[in-house]
Amino acid sequence: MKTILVLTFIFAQISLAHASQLNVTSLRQLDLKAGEIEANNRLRNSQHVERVLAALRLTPPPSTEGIPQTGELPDPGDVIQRAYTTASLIQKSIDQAATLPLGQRISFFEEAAARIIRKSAHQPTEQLIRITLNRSVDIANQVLPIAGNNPELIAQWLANFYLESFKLAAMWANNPCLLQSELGLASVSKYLTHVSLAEFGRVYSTLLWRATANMTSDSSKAVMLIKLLGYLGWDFNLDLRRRESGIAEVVADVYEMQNEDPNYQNIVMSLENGNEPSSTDLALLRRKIYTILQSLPGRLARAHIESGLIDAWHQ
Amino acid sequence: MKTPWVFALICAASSWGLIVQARELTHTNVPGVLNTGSVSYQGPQTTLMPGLYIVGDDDHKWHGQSYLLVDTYVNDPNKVLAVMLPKQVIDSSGGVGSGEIFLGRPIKNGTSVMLSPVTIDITGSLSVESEMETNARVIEVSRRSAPGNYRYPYLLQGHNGALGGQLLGMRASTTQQPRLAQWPSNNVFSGSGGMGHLVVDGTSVGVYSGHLAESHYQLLPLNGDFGKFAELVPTQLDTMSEAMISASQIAGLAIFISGCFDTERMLIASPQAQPGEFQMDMYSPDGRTFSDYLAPGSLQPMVNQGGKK
Repeated sequence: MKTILVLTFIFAQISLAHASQLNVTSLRQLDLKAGEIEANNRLRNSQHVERVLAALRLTPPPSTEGIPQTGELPDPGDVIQRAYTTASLIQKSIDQAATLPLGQRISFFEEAAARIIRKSAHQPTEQLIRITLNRSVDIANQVLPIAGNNPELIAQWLANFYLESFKLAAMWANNPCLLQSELGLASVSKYLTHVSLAEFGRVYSTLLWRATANMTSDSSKAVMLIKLLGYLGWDFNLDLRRRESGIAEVVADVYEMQNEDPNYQNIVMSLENGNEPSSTDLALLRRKIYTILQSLPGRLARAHIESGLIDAWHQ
Repeated sequence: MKTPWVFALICAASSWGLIVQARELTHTNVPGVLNTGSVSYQGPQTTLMPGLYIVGDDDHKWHGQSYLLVDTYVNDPNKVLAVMLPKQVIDSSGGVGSGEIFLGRPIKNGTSVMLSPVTIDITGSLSVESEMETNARVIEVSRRSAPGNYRYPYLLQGHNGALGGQLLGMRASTTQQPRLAQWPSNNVFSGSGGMGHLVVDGTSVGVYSGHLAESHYQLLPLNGDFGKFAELVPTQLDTMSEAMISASQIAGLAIFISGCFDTERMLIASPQAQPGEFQMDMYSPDGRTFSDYLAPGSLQPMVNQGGKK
């Protein structure tokens, strides 16, 4: 008897713990799927609101025609799911952000990026959108804690950086294309534009490069330059034409900088020790990265990679 | 038989210096060779302390042609923020002229300061030109070798077209140190720069030019809480949400200057077509009608408290 009681108690505890994780409020819902749980929660919320409003009502209306009754309407879950396309979600995020104070836009853009990426899921023609937004959130989160002692300027600069990133994502959304890379060929369609990962990398690097000449701290600029180099190397190394001489040279240059360049190593060591990097190391690293960026158009041309779509993005 | 002949020949040759004594190898200073080209800069350190400087083109003349206002950069104590203004902007109320904003940093082992223009880039954020270009138009400030002998102990050299080919001198101003701030103590300013009246209320600036469209800007400190420069971003009163909503792009810069003039003045820097150049408009407190009725730091009218304050 005691054993049965103990087991029942344990089972109840586990069920309740599991229930709280799923935002479930009754044990009966443990048998339901996630979508159904959400629908049930919506139902309970609307019932609650109805009860609150009913308590305020003087008299009921003459009939219920046109008055929403809980439980009569079909669950709008599938409508909500399909309401926005990725492109319209990006536009909605940009419009909504413009109504917020500058500082609040930063966290709003971060959440909006997560929603857009979830919505986009694994759609092959939206891969560039996901990469763009992922990288911008990555940069913002690494840079914000060390950006400097002028919070108002940092808020304006970061809100603007996010806006530019979302605009770039909007450009990809308005020009659906397939990414050509070693990551795996999507269903190849001759009716869609193909963009090479290297060309995408060049475009994203122009966005990031422009953001590194701002009025924030040297450590934040150093972090951005290091990440710019990392992204560029990843993009070129995974391009389908990675063995073409132009592309291979970029991979070699980035590898050399990351593994052998003294300025790069000094900066990483300074950051590791919690110190600001030296001005000299930062200036020299910037100069070397600038040289690589200037060489990209010529090297891409040698690898026969065209940049048709990219003219839409201001350089 | 031959030996005495050989011996005599050797004696003769050595006396004529034909047989040279062997010298030691000449040892090269290898580090010296490998470091050739990396100039080791010698000379006095040049630092720009916060304050007002006068820039002149002739060591014989006391009155300069421009002012340079300097403030320490909040993110690096070795760097400075500076604004260069033509004299007519400061010396006359309602003055208008063309000037530049700079971020200065030490170069050449601290013997010079490089003033790089700060511009508003294509995205609407501030950008330091020397970090985007290898040939930015920068000004190099250095101390002359015997500074006490010159009216202008600092030398200003332009690189890549800065200063229009001029070589200028600079001295610290003997007038009272200016107090710069991004927040004013007065509320209403007026000037002849085409913008009419400016009303500063907390962190927003309203521009009333007498034409149909007025405009509003939010003041964002550029250099931290105690800095002296502010960004101006366009803002609008969203009447439905009852809040001022701002753009994330900068429209200009603002500085409030006091301490070296008769009254506090507001300087607005608006970007020009040439990147890095700003139109500088100086506004003085409007002593005609409105400011007399406004208490400092608020827009509470004082008329019902007994008239002018």
